[in-house]
Amino acid sequence: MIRVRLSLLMSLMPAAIVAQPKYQPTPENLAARQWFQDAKLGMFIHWGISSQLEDGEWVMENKGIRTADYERIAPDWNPTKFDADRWVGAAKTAGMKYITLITKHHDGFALWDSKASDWDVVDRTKYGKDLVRQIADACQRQGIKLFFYHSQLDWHHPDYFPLGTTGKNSGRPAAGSFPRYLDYLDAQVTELLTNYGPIGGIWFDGMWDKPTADWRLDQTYALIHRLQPAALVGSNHHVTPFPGEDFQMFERDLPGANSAGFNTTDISGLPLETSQTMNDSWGFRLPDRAWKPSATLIREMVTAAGLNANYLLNVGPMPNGEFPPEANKILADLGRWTSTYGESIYGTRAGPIGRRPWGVTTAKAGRVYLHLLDWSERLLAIPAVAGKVTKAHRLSDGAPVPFTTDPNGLILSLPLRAAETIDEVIVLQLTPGR
Amino acid sequence: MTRQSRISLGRILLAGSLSLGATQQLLAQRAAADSARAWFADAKIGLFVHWGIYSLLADGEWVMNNRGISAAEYEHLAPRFHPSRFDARAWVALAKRAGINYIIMTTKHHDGFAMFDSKVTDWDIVDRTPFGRDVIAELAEACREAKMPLVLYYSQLDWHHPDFFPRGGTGRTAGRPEAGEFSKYLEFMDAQLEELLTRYGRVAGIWFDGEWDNGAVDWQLPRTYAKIKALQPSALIGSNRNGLPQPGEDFLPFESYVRPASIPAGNALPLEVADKINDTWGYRAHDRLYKSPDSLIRSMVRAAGWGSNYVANVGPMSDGAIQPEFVERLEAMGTWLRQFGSSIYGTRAGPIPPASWGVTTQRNDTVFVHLLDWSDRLLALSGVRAAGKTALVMNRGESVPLTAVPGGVVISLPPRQAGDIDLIVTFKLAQPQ
Repeated sequence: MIRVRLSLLMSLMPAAIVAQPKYQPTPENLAARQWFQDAKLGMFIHWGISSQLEDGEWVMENKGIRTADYERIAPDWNPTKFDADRWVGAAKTAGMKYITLITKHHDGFALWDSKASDWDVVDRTKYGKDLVRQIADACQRQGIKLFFYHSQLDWHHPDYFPLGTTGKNSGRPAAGSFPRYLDYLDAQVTELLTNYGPIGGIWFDGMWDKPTADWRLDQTYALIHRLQPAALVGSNHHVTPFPGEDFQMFERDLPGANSAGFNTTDISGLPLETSQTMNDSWGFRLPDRAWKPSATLIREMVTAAGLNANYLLNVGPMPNGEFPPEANKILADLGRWTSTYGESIYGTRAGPIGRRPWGVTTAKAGRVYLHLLDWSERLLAIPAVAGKVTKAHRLSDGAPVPFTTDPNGLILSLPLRAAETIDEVIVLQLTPGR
Repeated sequence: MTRQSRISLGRILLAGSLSLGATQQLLAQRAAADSARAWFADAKIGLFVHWGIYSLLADGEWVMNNRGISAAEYEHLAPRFHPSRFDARAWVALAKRAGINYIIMTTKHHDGFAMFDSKVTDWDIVDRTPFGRDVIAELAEACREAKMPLVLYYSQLDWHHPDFFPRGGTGRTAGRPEAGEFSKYLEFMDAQLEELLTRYGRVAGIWFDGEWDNGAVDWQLPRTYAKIKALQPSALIGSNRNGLPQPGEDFLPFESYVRPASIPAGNALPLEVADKINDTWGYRAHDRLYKSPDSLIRSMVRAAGWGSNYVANVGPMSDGAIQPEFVERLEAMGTWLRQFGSSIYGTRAGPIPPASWGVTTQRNDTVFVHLLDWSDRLLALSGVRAAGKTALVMNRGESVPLTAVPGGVVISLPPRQAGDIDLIVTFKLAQPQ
């Protein structure tokens, strides 16, 4: 994940991209997209040797640490408190249906036992165990899907040349073969897709570093779809998706918004995903005390669902392998919410009424969920929806919600809203018609 | 008369320590303040003017403190100040065009520089600048001609006066000796206030600022406030302390927007929001963060929904002219108010508390529903009963059906159009049963 981008260069990107021009997703892939859209909630995990320095995953670049010096932090890494089952359990309890794990960030360091490089956790650290393996196994055991984040940008590899807009302080020789780097990238992606069981998808990041380079997306995307047809490909390039991609992501923004300053406001027809931080950092950073209230994150997740997007909420584990206590609290709050209200987001799509001052709607067969995020009045008029509303009730306690119909919509008499309510969910039951 | 004032007056009477004449004087002061408060709450729209010698540096009214300029260095500004385009009548005429009902003018900001001919210091515009004119006198005269009430801003905080000691959180880089008598400073302040309240005709109010700088000193507010009321019983007192109002104050100012948590329970004082048109109070040449006219109008409507006044600020340039970006926005406000002002002027907060979709205002039994973010064709309003079966959409001049439902009313709205900054629906409330 990145901080500063050159939007001017971004706009040049599509011209140089070939991707998979005649890409036709397989039936397995299309089914996986449906599964993905039903899943709604995922956990992002930003972890690596950068966590050792407790200054975010960009610390190498931000502090101008040379590759040779950066390598010195690897041997001492020994996350003794790491317990893959605890991580996966925490995600499950929170109501998350998938985990998107950093396998390699911009520092190039692999969290698995790579054969294409020794710049990995097994070959270089005191810890010496394959982290991806442990997490993949725990996910398998606990029945949760695993996606791999993989950085195309690499501040460590000598063949990542010519350099892009970052990684200029790494002290690498000004030479190298970019096609050879892409071979390396394909080799690592192949390892990830062949040695760790069925994978939900690959979450690429870093192409924005060299917008005009030939990234051979066609080759890499075809490779992924050949190895695991159901694996979904997405890329955090902040422009309209390229052929061969199976979902579209929005870093720290709702679809269509661009508060981050680098996101596209183009929304494709692909499944959508908003990624978000719990505080201001992706990787663990001391001190980042800007923890968002759980209610704020839950409301954003619900709004994302109303805009047809998944919500990928990030945890930046501490160097010892534990989640920060603040993250655990947020995950517990999220779990309490999803255990009561999960029905109103899982398996839904954007509802028939778009975003309103009072909130959003989601829908699935025969049901429309009104998410009243900001409405304290006892009466609410909503526009007409297709079909006939036969019943309405409050999801939290089943209390019936009396309503009257009008040619222009529906007037609901709402029960009294408790002050601490994060999202008052009203369920409309419909029979098809008109 | 408010409950608060009845109680305190009762205490005074009970104490029996006042002569009949003094009691009558107090009663007269109360009555004057009450009617002034009612005028203030009806007025709704004001213009704030932040102007001083700091405008020469075009970097906001805090430039002295922000750049650590000493008092001696800062004094070099005064001989350069010659605002040849200053025209008080033009300012007042602009305010009139903007639909504004009162002007708040900085008579002395934190730099301590008096924009009037003070006799208790020579640190003022007449004694120190080649311009040599008393701009408060000229503005007061222009306001009188135009029947425009004038509120005088006065900074209690002073970065220039040697007796402003002990220091608070600011003004520590002015190079003053670490000594001084705060009580003498307060006497100086009272003397300047007396000048302002005796030499410029009727003053609608005193707008204090700067008490926040030092919470550890005794500002002797009761003494100063009593003096103001004795000189001009109808002059309203407000203080920008970002905290609860103190006894003797008549209105509750906010910066930028109403903070409901800062309104004391059972508050009877009128509220006032002061808002910047760009991002600075005093003139700052590189501040291009102009709010759009639509956004300013919406902020004004939101304030009215809280029952609050709305005061738009301008920081005139060092030549005395008001920059065109401000003029353009104020005129847009005026255009809007000429069409829809009846939903703002003279109103109080309406029956439904402000919410994300919009606000309500009310005058007598007429409710104005301001739809700031509502495009649906149906609107349900909880807890109100209407006198009739129609409502008027002010933007279209058309009547729309209004239906009573259990717990409120439902109004059928026309489609919202692109230019609807605020879609306003008005109807009369049923008489209470």
